[in-house]
Amino acid sequence: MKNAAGGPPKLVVAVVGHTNTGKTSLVRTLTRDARFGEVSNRPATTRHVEGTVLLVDGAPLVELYDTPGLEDPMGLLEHLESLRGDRRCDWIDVIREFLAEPAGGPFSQEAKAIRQVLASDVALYVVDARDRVLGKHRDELEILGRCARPVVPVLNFTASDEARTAEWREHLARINMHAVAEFDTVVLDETSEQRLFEKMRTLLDPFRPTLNALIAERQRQRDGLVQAASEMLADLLIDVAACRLLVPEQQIDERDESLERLKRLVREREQQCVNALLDLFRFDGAEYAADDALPISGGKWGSDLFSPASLREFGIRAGSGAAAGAAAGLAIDALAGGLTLGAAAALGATLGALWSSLGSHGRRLVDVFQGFTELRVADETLRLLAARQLDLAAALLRRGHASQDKLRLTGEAEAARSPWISAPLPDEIAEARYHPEWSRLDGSAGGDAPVADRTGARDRLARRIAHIVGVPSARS
Amino acid sequence: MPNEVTHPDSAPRQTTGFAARLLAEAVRVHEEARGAPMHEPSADERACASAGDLESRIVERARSLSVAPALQRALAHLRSATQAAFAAALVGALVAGAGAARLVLGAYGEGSVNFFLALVSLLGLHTLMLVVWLIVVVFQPGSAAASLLGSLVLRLGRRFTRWLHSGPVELVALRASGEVLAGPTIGRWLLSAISHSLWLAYLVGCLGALLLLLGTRQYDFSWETTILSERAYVTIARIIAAPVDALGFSVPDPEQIAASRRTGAGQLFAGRASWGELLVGCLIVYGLVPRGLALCVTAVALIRARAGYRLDLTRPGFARLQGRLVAFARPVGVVDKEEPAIAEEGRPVAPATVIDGPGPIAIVGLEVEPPQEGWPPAIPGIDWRDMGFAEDRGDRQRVVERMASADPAPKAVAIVCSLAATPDRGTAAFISTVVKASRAPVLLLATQGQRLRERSPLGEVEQRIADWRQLAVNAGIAPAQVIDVDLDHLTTDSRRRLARQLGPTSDVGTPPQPHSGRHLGQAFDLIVDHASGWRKEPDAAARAELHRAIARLWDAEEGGGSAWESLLRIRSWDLAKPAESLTTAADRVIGLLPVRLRLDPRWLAAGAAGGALACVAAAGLLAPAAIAALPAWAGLGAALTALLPKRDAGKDAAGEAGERPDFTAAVDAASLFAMLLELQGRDETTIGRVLDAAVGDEEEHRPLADAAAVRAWLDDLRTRFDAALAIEGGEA
Repeated sequence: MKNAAGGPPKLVVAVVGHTNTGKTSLVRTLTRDARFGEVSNRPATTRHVEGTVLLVDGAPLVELYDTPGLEDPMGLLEHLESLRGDRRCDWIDVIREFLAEPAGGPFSQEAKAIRQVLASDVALYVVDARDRVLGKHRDELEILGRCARPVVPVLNFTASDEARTAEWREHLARINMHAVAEFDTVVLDETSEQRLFEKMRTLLDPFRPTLNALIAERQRQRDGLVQAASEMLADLLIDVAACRLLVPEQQIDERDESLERLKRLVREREQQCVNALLDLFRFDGAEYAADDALPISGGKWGSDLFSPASLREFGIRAGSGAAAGAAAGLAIDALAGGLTLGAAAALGATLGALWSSLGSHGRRLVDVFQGFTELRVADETLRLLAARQLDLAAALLRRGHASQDKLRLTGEAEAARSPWISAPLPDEIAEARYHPEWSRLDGSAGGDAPVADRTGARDRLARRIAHIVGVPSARS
Repeated sequence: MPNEVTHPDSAPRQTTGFAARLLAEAVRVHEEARGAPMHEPSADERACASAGDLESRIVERARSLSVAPALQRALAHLRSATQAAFAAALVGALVAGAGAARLVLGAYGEGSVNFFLALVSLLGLHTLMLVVWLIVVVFQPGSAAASLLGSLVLRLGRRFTRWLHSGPVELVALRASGEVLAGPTIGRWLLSAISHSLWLAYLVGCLGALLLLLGTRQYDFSWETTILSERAYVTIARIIAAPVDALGFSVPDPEQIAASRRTGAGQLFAGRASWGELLVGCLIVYGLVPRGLALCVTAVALIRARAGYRLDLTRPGFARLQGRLVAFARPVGVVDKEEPAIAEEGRPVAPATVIDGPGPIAIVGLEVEPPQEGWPPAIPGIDWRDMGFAEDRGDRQRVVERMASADPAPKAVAIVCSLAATPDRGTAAFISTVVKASRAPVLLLATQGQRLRERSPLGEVEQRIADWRQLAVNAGIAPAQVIDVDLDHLTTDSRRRLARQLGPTSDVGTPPQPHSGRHLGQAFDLIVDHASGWRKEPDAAARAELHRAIARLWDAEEGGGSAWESLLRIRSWDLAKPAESLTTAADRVIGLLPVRLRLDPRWLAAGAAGGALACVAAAGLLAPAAIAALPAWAGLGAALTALLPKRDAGKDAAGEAGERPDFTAAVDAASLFAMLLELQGRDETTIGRVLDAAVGDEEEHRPLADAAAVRAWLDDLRTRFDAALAIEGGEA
């Protein structure tokens, strides 16, 4: 089917398989649309052929059709054989005769699926890799083989412990199907989608340009996502690291109030970042009930940023610098702690940064003379913040759009991805500490002039984060 | 998700100019300040309908937002303020130029003007700045520090705006335009252009004043030097004069130059017209022309930069809009024809037939693997006739034939299916075939329930069991003859139950023992006794001793074969590799916990510890001498700690030492162990349900610090346990 505009030809794909193997989930994941069709564990959930078109740069390139599952392939094969009888005609003709039968017969569901296969360029045969290889699967492949269309088997649930991937591959190889794709719609491996398209490309030569365009587009989008997510995290970290509240030395009540205020500001900022990330990855409110493999639930972090339990959960040691009466996570900083020019120089700050930090030190001197101290967010909270958000970003990048399971139990394995749990925090964050004007948390801060230094630091930090987040997870 | 409904192929309108993009940036800054994007579906729809790429949609959306007019006004204010500032600066430069010329030429009657000094005064700074600008632009493009003047003007413009109108919208506009206009692409050209314009104005002012003064007053020009020679000066003068001469101005010739050297007062100078014209010419050639060229170049570059400005779509403020503006995929909808709904015929439900009398029972496995415990399953008193496994079409036919020709005819047929598989029409077809072909009643044994429970949450498990029941009933099996029994994990209890269902006259073995709860009470007493002996939190050895004591209670009764060992799947304890056995047992106990408790960290730890210590207890009962060996104990402690989830370990390590000891973990594990022993022989769903009911929802975690608290808590637990067990009845 040629594209109207003369671009690459449009590819029509039928997604078929035994009932309840994850066909609809596969289509959901490929289209990033969590509301396509219906997914449940019951047989014959999908009853109709439903289609969707993948857009690349706005142009429709690939049509995907989700079909009802094949429930009784053995019966269908017998029926086809009886239809053929003793004649010596091609199987494809027999199948067309079968499809021409009046609707409402015992194999109407199968008929819909097969009709779609005949109308498509390629069929993706989805298999639950946890099932054994049974006679009914062989019969299904037999039927598909008679439809005269290229078939790409897709093994689903390959990340599960029960998956029998090797068994399936061997069996498929025996019937000469070597281009087998693996997928797991619950735990999405970043590269498995690309490999699926690549396998399709080997079987469909005329559609090479289409699949190439699709692969390139997905890669671009993923890079864009990584980039944007990294910038969001970098913004968050700089805002929180640079934030400080001035508190009069003497008044205890005001100090507690300011503590609470700072905590509230930081929590809100974190929630903003979470919302932005969810938006970025196209998760909307309807999915919160089913956002399982994410470390958050209901779109919010369950544990409080400032509680010692949260720190322990991520294996972060609480610092000893918490002042008496202050909850963990905040540092009431006597000015002397930050006022060393040597430290600023050690940051490798440029002349300009040195100048501005001198300026800010000057301001801080004034503050101290007026009897104020600074209230800032402590290092371990920054680590926790970084670890949690990195966790979330990584989970979002890896997660498929079809999962419906419930809570994860621990965050430790994933949090190991953050290298800042025990290692020193990156320079840019340390630099942000010296520039309270970089923080946008205070409503009044921010001013009108853009702060060029902040942009530079933010971009560097974003690059670091992109390295961590963008690395595909190592999967055996 | 945006719905792409209309004309997907219409060409995008060309409305995205620089001003529109600037507005989009302002909207982005506004949304960032707000914290979340504005929620205006009408704007989003218009953006989607405009059908361009992401950038044009973002621009369209920005234009359609309700805040757009205010932002545009603010941007317009800023623009006009900057223009005003620029105009003021131009005027200032003009005046400064005129003043400079005036100053350089000196007051009337002061004597001669030092030509070269005048020239350098007028043009020196300008040339220097021009060269600096060139160097910076060539060697460090992208640095906006090239022109201080430019940034001064812009700053002035911003001050104006702040002073005239201040408000949040203004602030946003300022920040946005600051980011764009001072950014690397446009900023450097804009600032340079402003700077060049100002210098040009200055030079024009100079020129104007110069022409006026030279025209209306009489000046003498001379030159003098201390260290340079006359020849050098003449050469310099001629070099300077060359291009000026080419333009048509009259320049002094060498004699005039030589003659103009100042030797003393009262000298007569000639050639003042030529010098004058030379001065003017130099100003034009070395001042106005280069600056003019530079201005043209930067102006052209600026125009191109403005036209080529594109939004940076990786900025988070833009990237997060992609989800709502650009569809990944467009649904096509349902494509198959509408079919008449098939009326579900009311099928008569088959009555349950009592399976009576002696005779073999045929068993056939439908798409299941042979269970680990052997095939056919060892049920006391049942004589199985194995019909094999039906995996494909050929197998199915053979099975049916074999059943028809079996001699003696079986008194019942049992079809074994897997709960982990999805019940489909093919299975239903086979079951119907068997029902029709056999005269004896047909039973469905649904196995692999454990695997299903491991895979799916509770709600789905129940749904799946219900689906299988429905399928079986539709195929003609009586509802009472659909039995959920896990052939992979047969317990004595489940065997007895199955045997009874397959024929009441079968030999079912010894009747089940009444569950008196006697042992549980004793076990809890044991726990309290041990607790009263603990001064601080018990270590691994003490806890293992407690578990061994508890296990001995049940062991004495059963006299030998410990059913609880098979419940917990403790086969043999390998002294050399304690970790693995402990892990298996711990996992097993955790697996027995109901979902709610599994998610609770406290009970998760209790399950792990309970399982591990049960393993140790089992080994202790088998070979107490081996356990007493010291190295094994040391390994055990470490293995246990490694096993427990971090939370528990963290609590222990962080040590609220010195405070009241916390026996909760030890008591949890021991009581869980005791309850499991009490429930041994039942199937796992029952165990799960009873545990769920027995362990209450304790909102506040009060640490159990002494024997009295332990006693109180255990009494509570026992009451709930008994109640739950009573609900389950004597036998499930």
